[in-house]
Amino acid sequence: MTLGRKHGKRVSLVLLAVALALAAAGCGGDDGGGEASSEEPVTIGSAIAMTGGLSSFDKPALDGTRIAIEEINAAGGIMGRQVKSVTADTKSDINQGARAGQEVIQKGADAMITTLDFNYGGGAAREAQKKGIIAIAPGAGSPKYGVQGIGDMAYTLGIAAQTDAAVAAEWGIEDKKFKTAYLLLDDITDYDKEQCSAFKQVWTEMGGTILGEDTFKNSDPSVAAQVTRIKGLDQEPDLIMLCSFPPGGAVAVKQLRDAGVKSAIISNGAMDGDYWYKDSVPNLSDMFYTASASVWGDDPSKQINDFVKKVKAKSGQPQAYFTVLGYVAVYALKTAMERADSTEGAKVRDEMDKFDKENVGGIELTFTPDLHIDTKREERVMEVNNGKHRVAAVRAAEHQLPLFENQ
Amino acid sequence: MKEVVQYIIDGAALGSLYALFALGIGLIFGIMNLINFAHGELIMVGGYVLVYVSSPATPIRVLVMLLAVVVLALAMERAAFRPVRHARADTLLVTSFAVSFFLQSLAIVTVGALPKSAGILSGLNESFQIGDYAIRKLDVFTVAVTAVLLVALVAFLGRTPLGVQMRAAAEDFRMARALGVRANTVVATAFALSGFLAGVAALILVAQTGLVSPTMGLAPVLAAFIATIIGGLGSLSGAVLGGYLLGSLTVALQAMLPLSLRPYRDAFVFAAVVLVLILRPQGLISSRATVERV
Repeated sequence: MTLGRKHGKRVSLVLLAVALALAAAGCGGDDGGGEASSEEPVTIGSAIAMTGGLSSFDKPALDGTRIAIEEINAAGGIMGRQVKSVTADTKSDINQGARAGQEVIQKGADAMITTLDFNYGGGAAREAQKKGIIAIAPGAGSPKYGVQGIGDMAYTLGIAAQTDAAVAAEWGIEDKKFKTAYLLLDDITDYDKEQCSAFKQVWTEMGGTILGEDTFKNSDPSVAAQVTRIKGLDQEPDLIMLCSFPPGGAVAVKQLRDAGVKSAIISNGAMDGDYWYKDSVPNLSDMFYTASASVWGDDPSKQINDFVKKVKAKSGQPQAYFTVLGYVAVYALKTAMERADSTEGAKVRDEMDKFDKENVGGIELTFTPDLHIDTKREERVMEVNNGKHRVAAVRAAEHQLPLFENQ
Repeated sequence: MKEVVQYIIDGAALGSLYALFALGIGLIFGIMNLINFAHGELIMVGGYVLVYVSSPATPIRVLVMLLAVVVLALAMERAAFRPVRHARADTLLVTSFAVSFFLQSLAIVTVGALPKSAGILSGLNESFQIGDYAIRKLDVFTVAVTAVLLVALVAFLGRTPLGVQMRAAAEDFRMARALGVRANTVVATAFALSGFLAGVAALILVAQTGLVSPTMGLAPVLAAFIATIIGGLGSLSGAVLGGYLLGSLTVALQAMLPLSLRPYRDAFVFAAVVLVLILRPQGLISSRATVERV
């Protein structure tokens, strides 16, 4: 039995009114809607390794990102808008990068932070590039993570091997007045190879002597033969340039010291932290490495020291300065977005390309439209003395070596 | 000349370490025709037990570690390998890979992927001064321990009832069972011994490198696998011989190759391995294990 015509019309009017009311309520709510309002948050998407082997590097960076977001929100946000953090897990799988990038974009990311490596973070970064939003790697050391390898939306806060090597060599010759060096190369990564090659070039250009060089593999349980070769030299080198990272680099340092090699050893920021020598070489001394910041309480920047205190309160002593770079990444976006007065990718990019020793979160950043990796940064030369870390020197690379093969 | 002697010592020490790894794999293969790729994870667990047992007395740390690894080896046999004991060789192989990946992933989830430093037997890092030569105490320890274990193993297999049963099972499993050898006992014993060897290997590896990590078992198991292949699958003395050859060759090439070729050191080592296998496919010391079972 159907409703009478008049009754039916009233019901349908009521239903229409209810439907319109629901639609209005739905539209006014959260980030799904297309209307931009000053209440809408600025979303920073972290497409990173939350699980798996790389999470040991990516999660500290995320800690830094979240602390930066808390600070910024407490101070009023970006352009008056609150900042929101969303994440997607790459599971440390290189093939999951693009999917994770798409996921944070779907969650409304206005900018992306990726895994701090060109290969593992590149997949997500390319999705950001396609969408026209900024992608930042809080520490990829490859210049390819940038205009040349991904696109003009990609930036890395890492330092190129050539820059690290120049700082190490210049510090050795000018600050420590060393004369002789030896290269010990773990040839598993391009970064290591480029670092040793650049160090050799700068060292000899500055008048230093290279007494010899040798290679080993990151997975070698023993570098006894390499150590024997060093001990067989006519004189002990003043400085050993160790182009490696844990575990291989840690094994090399231990076995060098066990064998009584007293040379100063310098490496790169991958040797940050005390986890790799605390129980095996507790009194480690004359060990040096280059880093963008000190997480040991004595960085020249007060903002970084305060940040480190916050990280310590949350999750204990940081074991690498990548957590600082995750923090700096957010401040870089804030600075650029506020100058552009917009979150639109191309406008933010234009502002970031104008950074010239721009103090961002305690570190100075320099980018150009052609170079999205900082070669002018003041690095901290860190020292481990009797098992304790301290800043030994602050230096920017004077020798600017070519970063790409066709330069 | 001085360096040559030092290199020989380096080669002997690395060879002993590889021989230890290879013995652990060779034992299981002899009984079960299984290359246990999870042997590396036994070493890894041993390393982590040393890190987490912080008793000040070294003998206690070592004893607890050996116990833990033997228990894990027995558990591995019971849970993963016994159900597939009579399956095809490739099933066994895949099972051992599965156990290996499982244990590595478990380690990453529980203790994290970053390596951890570890200190044990640090007194052995010093060297004996003999005239012009400095011989690291740890190297002497490694060679000595491997020799003692090998002698003990040979004595066990040759003289004890259980050992004789194990050798019988290795020769002809079905016949041995028909004669009353308990299969479960023999296999469990093999795993327990293999676990013990893995524990000793972990002790030396940690003393030498000062580090543990979830993937620290990968390089040892690969070295063990290659050493047993060139030495002769199924022969314990072959495993030891293969280990010493591999270790010595690695050190020799590292010392003698010109700098430009040194990054390819492992390629040369494997080329030598291929050569050995072309000339003697059954390995240097043949055993009945590699004879086709009809």
